[in-house]
Amino acid sequence: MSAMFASAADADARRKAERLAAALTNAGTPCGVEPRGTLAVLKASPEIVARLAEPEIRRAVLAAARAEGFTHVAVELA
Amino acid sequence: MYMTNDPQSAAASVESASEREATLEAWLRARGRVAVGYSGGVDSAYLAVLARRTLGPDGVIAIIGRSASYPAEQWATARRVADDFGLPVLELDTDELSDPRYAANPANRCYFCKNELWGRLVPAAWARGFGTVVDGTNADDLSDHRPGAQAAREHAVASPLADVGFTKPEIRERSRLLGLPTWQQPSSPCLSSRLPYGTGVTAARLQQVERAERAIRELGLTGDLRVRYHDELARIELPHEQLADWLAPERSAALQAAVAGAGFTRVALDLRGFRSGSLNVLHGVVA
Repeated sequence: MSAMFASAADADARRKAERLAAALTNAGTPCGVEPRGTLAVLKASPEIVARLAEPEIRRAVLAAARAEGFTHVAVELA
Repeated sequence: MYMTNDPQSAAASVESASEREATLEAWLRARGRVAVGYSGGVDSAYLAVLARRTLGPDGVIAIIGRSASYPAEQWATARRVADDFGLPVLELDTDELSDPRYAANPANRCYFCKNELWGRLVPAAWARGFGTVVDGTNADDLSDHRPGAQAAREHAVASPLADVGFTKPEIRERSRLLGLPTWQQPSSPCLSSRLPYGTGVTAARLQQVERAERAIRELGLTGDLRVRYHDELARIELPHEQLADWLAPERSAALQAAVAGAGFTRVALDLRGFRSGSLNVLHGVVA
């Protein structure tokens, strides 16, 4: 039973991550998104990673993540 | 950085803080001899040094509880301040990690830590003739998620900074006037605060986080910093004003290498930046 709930939660997290990744791509900052609970880990090229710190882009990314229920967003360093 | 930029409100704050300090001195004099739970953080350093100034060297003892969750860097600061201000110090070993209720890392983990701390510190103070034991809780702390405060109450530990209404900015300002080096020191909660609730607290994990933070400091980072432990991944929180610098390719590579050297295979930089109590938000303990 608990495995079924875990599986449903995983599927929900994956859908949220996919929607966030699509939103970021549409906004011109293509990133992969790995969901870890309410933390979204973004994976992107070094050029995109550097752009994510620009204030307007940063704010937009945080808002998009929040809209999908992520309380934290972190950018993975390669 | 930590003070208000509004001269009018700053002046008002300093005036009221001065009055609060006088109230606090009167409170201390009424107790005669006071033991301070002392970590070398902004609040307890101010309280201990003010007590030393008010009561003299025989009227105060600063007691440090040393354990795996207490950062070594903070211990060094505590000793340095004590030396510089003639503060008598007693060090006790505490071992909250041996309590399975603490090691399981529930949301009220701090209760078990403080229960261990005060359970050792208060009898030690009483045995030395210090009938009053105080901590550095300030008025701002009262609105935060602080299960450790319950343990303090249960062990009859007083919080005079909070009782007289001292806020963190006011304590920083009064510390500056006393010449304390801690006045602009970033807050430094215990290392266990870097582990999400439910992730077991072990000495190895705490040391890993401490090594990572030390390695980042050695790259020249100043100000608030937290390395949050997410198993193989370290999530780094820096002041958001510094994000652009550290996400640039050269510096991000240095950051990644520094944290990897501490044993994390993956490193990620939090895009929102430093947040006190960040893991409380992650777990919905606070909004």
